[in-house]
Amino acid sequence: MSEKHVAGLNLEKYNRKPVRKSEGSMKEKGYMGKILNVDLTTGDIREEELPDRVYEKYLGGMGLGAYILYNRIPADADPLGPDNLLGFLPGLLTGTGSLFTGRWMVVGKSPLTGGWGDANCGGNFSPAIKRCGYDGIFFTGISEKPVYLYIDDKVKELRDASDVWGMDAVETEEFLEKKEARGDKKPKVACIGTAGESISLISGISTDKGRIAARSGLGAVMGAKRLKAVVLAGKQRIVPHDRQEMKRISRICNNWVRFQPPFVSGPLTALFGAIMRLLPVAFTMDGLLYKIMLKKWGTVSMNQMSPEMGDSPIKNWKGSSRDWGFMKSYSSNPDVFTQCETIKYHCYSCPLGCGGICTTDDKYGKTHKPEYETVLALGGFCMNHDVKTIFYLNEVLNRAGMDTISAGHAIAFAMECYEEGLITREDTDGLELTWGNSEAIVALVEKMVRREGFGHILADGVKQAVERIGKGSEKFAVHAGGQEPGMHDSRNDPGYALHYSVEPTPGRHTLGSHMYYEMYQLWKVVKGIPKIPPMYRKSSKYRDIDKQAQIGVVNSKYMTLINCVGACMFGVFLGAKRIRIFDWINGATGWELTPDQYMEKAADIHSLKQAFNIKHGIDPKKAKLSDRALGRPLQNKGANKGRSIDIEAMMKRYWEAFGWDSDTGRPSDGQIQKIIADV
Amino acid sequence: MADNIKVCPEGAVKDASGHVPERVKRAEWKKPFFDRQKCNGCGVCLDVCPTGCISLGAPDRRDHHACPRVIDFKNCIGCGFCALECPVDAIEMDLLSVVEEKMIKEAVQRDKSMKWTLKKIGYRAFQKVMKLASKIIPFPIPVLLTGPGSVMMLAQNIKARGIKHVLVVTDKVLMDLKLPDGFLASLKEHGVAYTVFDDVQANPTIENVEAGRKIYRQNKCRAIVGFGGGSPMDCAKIIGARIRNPYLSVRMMKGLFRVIIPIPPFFCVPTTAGTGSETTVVAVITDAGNHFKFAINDIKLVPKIAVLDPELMKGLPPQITSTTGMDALTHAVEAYINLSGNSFTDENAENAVRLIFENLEKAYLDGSDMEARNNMALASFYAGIAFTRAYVGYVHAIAHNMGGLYGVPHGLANAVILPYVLDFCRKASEKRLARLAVAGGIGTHGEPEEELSYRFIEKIKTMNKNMKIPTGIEPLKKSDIPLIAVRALKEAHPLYPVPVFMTHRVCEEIVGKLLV
Repeated sequence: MSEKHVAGLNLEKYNRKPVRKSEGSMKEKGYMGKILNVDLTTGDIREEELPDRVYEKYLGGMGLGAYILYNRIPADADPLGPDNLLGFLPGLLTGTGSLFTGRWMVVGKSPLTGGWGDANCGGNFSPAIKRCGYDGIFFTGISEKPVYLYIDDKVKELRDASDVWGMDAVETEEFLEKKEARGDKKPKVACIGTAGESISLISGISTDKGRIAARSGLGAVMGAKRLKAVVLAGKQRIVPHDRQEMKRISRICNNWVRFQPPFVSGPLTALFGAIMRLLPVAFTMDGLLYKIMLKKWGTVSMNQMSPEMGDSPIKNWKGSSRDWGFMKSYSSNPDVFTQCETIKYHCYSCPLGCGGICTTDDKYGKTHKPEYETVLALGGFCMNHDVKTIFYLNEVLNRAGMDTISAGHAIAFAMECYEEGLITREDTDGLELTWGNSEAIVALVEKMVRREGFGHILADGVKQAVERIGKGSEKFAVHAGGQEPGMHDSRNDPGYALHYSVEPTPGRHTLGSHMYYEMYQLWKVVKGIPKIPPMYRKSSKYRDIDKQAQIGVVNSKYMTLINCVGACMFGVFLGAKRIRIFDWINGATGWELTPDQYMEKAADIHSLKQAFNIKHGIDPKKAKLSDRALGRPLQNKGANKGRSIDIEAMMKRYWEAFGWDSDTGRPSDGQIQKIIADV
Repeated sequence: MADNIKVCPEGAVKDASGHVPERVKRAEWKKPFFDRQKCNGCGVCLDVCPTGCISLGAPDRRDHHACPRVIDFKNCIGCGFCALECPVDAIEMDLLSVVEEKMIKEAVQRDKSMKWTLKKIGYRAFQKVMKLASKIIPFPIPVLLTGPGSVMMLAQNIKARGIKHVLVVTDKVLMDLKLPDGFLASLKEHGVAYTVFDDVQANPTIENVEAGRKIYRQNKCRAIVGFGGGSPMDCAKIIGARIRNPYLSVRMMKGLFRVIIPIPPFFCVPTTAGTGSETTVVAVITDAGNHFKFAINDIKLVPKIAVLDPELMKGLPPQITSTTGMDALTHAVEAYINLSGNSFTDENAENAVRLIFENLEKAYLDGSDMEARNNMALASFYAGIAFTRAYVGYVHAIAHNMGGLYGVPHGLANAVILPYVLDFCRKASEKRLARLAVAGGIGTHGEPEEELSYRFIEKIKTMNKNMKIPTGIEPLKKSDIPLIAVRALKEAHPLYPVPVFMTHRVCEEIVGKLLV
């Protein structure tokens, strides 16, 4: 054998050249250049080549989804009907040798809000889509019987799924992995659980046995289309434009991630939170500190810190850090989760690995390490301090494919209705829905998953529950345009309030906040955006509305870009200088654009999402967050005492800064024409 | 055209000119080597591997990330895609023999790293402090009641303390054997009311403790009697700790001196000769949630009175006699070779070893031999006194995990693991082992120490063989070995003053030997 055979020594040779002849059309630009359209009504599967200029304009991921969905869903389409499109999209950078870029997107018209819907998920599914040779798989129509899509290098077909219909997400995945395995290599599966099958509006799409693209209710869309799963076993290669450049930037990023000094014990994080609450000034948060905590514990590192600093809503947004003090949150302190963590879990191309598999003593035996959002939504939000039930419910909801944040909101809403006497024991099928009654919470979640009795009323989120219960219960329901907000208190950080209210996908905690902006450190690479001083008075956040709106605009643009390239928020928190997304895009695609130009592209994509909402009859003003979460009435104790947000003024400034109509939030027709005409 | 088409397993790939290249021999395929210094566990190689032969492996807390490895080099076709796509260039392709060499070299290098040396210094400093502290801490020694029938005297003692109601913690097996009946009758005779709590599992869990605590409070008991083997006694200790410290959960008491308020009057009646729990400061408990076994150490957990009644041990099956006896031997040996021992613990350990060598096999063959039984009970007590001051070692650290993960009885696990760990640390503790051999009566002063130490280990192996104790642990799974190693070392470092430190790699090797 010649020395040249050694793959490790001969890298340059196949950096530039395709491996197989059949892949001759493959581009050396990080993307695959094709999408797949599947019509479930007729069973027609059609490849479609996209010109380069589409990618140059819309990048990939969410941007590509926005382009396809805006043009192809008719204005009056029923989200659960045949006209709606459901798209699975990998990020532009996935598989190109970049780090932190393993997230995929599901897009569609959301049945929960009626407008633009997207959900983002990690795991190992994102590269699998690209390895089948597509930058997106779009489903339209409704199948007669349950089906799943199978793709490998030779076969693309819809197969009968009647034997997996009715199984939960984990069982489905195990069954299909076994059925479609070729040798040792298992196919990648994304599927819906029982909640998606029963068209629960708060259901999501699950992959890797418990990672869910949960928000916007897109599992219901998949269930309504009777598409049980997508099984991908492609082996095509993803070739970036300049692999050595990609690796060079990855190494810079990797060095920052590897820096891991020993850190304090779990309960001590609460002390940090308390200090942050008591100081009148705030220090600019550096993402490196958060990274250290993420690497040690995962997102559960915030379990005690966050309630202490007033970042967690407690007791259906009614309570405060006083109600969920150190002793109550101690049962869910970060160390509890790492103690039972037996396997560390990394998403694709993630050097951080904030996930894990925990062993439990309930009937399932193991579960993915619950995320901070889950622990708080089922814990402090319902005043439940029995951490064992949280492990169990995490697995129950994962298997059903239901959104834990929305489920927590629905339960807390029901508890408050019960407390106020709007519903009685007869309505709740005999459940004593008092705050913190963990047995009742477990029973109720199991009912919600099966849509039995009272569970049926809550299984579609709080907005639907208000309609079903009536009696003036809407004052206890906290949502933004139908979507329940995440477990970050908008009164503590006006940025959250703005993004919960103003985004095309309202109620999402992952789109931006003041703290995120501090950690992005974008002012180091992008010109003309506000800089945050190392230390500032907390009250300035509430006074300077103009600056908040500007920050919100930059956040929205940057997060849109992140979603287009499939990067992970936790990686991006390291700061723009340490994780160089812009350089990575240039290296992968061969374009030579500046960060400012990318931010402009992202702004266009963001405007297109807003235009999608306008086209489908959504009034952006109505997506405003419920009053209680905005500090109306004011809280009289706890960390957020006396804080309220002037959200109307902030929304106006935000729309103005995007160049939309400042009264209605509509992009002008000329703007939209300009965005879609160039392609 | 890329060269890796030459390794296509189906020979189906043609190059540009359309001819199938000459296949490379299987033995010459290059295999990946993962450089842990560069790897970050991102999992790209898992995804690109066309045969799925790479796995991310078990957690490695030392690196804070999982490091990939090839599950089976037979399945690897040497295509090199992983090396090509690795974002941080942590994979090198090489011939299998070279890769294996590199893996060993790297593992050895890790053991010699400066970080590990500094850690070892830290551990020794901690142990030195603990040794000094143990001179100041007043370790209580329980009052002993020995001899056949001595259990009857306990009721009298309880009454003399003015106690009206006791909680008797035992297990279902003993209740079925009607072993506590005599003791309970004597309690009644002396007018002491009692409540029996017999819901203790073989490896007691936190749930057992909470159930026992509930019963104690319901019946307004005033004292606790631990009646049975190690499990009921440990469970009784923790029940006591929980009753007086309701604000401390069992998990919070894990570690050293975390029990703040002394426990209620506590008496021990061991029915096996082995655990030494009747005199030690330690109580071991399992967290059912994660199958993690941990110890609570506090001098407040030492009972007031310990009853060593050989009659209670008469009906003990030979299997349990042997494993509990070997458990006591493990205590004695580990306490003796540990570095925190003093003349007092040495004396006790030597006594225990002598008694066990002389009596264990007798008691195993003839369960009704009262003298052997009594001597074994005493040996267990002495061993307990020794190890509660000088700590145990790696045998216990590994055995606790076997119990936690698979429910292997503690004594059996100890008996199986002891010879392997002694083999590992024989060189470092040659002198001590030789002295133990002399004390145990299998050698005389003046013989070469090396030979004596070998003879001592050989003696343990023969005893195991004679008493039909297996040489491996049946339920042990290969995939769990890294996890066991991580947990065992976490338990042992820095608390146990072992004669020589074990690295993760060595620990994995030793646990690997236990595979059946």
